[in-house]
Amino acid sequence: MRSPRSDRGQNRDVEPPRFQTEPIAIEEREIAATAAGLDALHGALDRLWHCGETRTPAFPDQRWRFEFTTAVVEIVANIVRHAYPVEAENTARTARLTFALLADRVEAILTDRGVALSGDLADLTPEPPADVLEESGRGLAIARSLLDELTYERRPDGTNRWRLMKRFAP
Amino acid sequence: MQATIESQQDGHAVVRLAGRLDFLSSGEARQRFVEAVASGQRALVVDLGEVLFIDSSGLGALIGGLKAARQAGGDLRIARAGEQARSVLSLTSLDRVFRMYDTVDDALAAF
Repeated sequence: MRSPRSDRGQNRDVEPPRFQTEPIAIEEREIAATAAGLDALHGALDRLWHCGETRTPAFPDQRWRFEFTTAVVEIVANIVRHAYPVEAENTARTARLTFALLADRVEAILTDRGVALSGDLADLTPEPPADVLEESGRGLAIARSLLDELTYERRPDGTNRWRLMKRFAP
Repeated sequence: MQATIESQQDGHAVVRLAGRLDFLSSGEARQRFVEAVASGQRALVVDLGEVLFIDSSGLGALIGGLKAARQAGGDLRIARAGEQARSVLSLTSLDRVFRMYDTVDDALAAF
């Protein structure tokens, strides 16, 4: 007997990140906004780059890897800064990172249980600040310009899910 | 991130940063720049040679230091920026705002 629609909906809500094709390698970390958390983030990407070098032909160069890493850090910065209450300790500002190496791209799924992004992603990244000497407000625009795709989704299970994708070849 | 400030004569100083200049460490870096300017060192050279990674918050700290230095009649200049730092500075057009040098000595000599 088929399961009722609501059950399927619930199951879908708690599904782990899925990828269009089977990843060659996956690195997952649960991190907080601490030095150790960022060590884990950079360490996970270094492992992914190592897999890329050994298991895919023509894996992109250091500059490409820097670009993807920069985009990931900008989105993590956005999460830990804006998804949690002002009084939250850095150790409580957490995110789950899933990095996947695929045949022609790298993807990152960043998930948190904080409050929803206020406003539409497209509206939040129109242009970098008009004043070049503005000290903040560049993060999302930087991330977007370094990626092939950047999406944000508020999910029915009360989590925020960011998806970042960069292809090996432009 | 580690930050050390090396005072030189005539209000010059070299700020050597090491590690990651990101959203966790940028506040401290900004504070070091502003304190250096407040203590009379308004010609700052920021040595990025040992900085492994910089994000938009790190750029914000550099801008904060630059504004403090300029308000005091000085400047903040960047030396030894690596590939990743150059990439984000270029992406944000800030490579047109900061004067960048290959060595700390070149940056100091240009003041």
